[in-house]
Amino acid sequence: MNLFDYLCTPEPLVHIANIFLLVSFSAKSMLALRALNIIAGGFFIAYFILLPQPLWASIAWNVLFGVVNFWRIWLAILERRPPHLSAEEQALYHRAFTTLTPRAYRKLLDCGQWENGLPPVMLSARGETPKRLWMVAEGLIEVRCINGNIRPIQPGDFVGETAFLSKNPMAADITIAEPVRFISWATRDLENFMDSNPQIGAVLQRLLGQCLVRKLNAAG
Amino acid sequence: MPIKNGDALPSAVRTCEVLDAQGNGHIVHNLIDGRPSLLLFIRHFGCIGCSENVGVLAPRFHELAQLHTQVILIGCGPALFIDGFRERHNLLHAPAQVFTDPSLSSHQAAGLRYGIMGGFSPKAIWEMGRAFVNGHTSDRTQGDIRQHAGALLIDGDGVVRLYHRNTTLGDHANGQSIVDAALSIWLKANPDIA
Repeated sequence: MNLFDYLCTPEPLVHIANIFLLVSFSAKSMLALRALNIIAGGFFIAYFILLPQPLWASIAWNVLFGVVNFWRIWLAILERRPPHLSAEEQALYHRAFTTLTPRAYRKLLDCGQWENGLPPVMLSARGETPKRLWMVAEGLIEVRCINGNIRPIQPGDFVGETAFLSKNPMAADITIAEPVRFISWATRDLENFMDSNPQIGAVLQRLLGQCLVRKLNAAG
Repeated sequence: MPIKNGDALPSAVRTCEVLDAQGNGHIVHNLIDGRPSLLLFIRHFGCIGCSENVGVLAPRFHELAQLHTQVILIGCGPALFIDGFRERHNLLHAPAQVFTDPSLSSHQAAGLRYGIMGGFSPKAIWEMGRAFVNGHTSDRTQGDIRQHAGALLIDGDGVVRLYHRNTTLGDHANGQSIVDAALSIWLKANPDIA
């Protein structure tokens, strides 16, 4: 059999398929790996079809592998889409969370809940260990210390971050001074979220620390 | 004609009028107002390449703001598409202003490319695929698809410190180079700190 005759048989297809498979093993990107697997699968399918007795079971399995790979690629592309943020979510992002990617910020928002508050509601009393962490988006919250000092919490600042970080009870009363729009997270949910998303958790830890330093500096 | 780094911003660019989202005209010179500015020219507002471009550069806008460099995006579609573009790209409260120049005079004055091939050459089609895989999508055409993008960073004296002229829809100005150039401008303006 000369080379031309050989190339006219189905056999080269299986070699081409395996070369693609081999190359896919060295692909660093999951998308590239899956795409190469799909191409390899296409050559395998062609090979199995062109055999004198088509191997339908192998064809079916390769079709299934291809479908799974296509689906996972599609999900990966969707995962990379810029997330949709409402106007107030965008405002809060640009005010306080620019060190997070928009997608990470979206995940963080999805872990919490938006709330409205009216004065004179007390969010947390001195001596309590709050079950939530808050961030002010609009309006004014006040911290009333034991010595009578009142410190305002500005939009973009966390409330309850000291208790969240130290697990100690609050040293001051937290009250709503003006109609306020804020987002809050249950501390347990946020801890779980930070554990399961360590990169986002690290950035959030830094933001909490920065907020704390800002407040300490403001307190003189 | 392409502009060179170190050139003064051509008066043809300075005197151009761009429109805001309400359709009000603004002269580029007045927008710059003697401040270090990044003029980021984009293709039409629905362009997948520009979606990628903004997606890559927008996270650096706050760094630029900290370096006192204002960001002025100039598209080429009708002004009514500006708000949708800002919302889609999470720019509603970003330190960046978005304008448009449907006449393309500012794009031409900045020496940017114009032609169909930049959007449909094999390289551009490859870049389109790359942008799609990276999660960007093409919206319907909102401007002139033949107009290409580019970037101009000028210092407070109106001297061009970085110039990039996109050859294809995925040939973006490098975000790190822009921030580096803005940092150089800032250091030059603040020699005591440097």
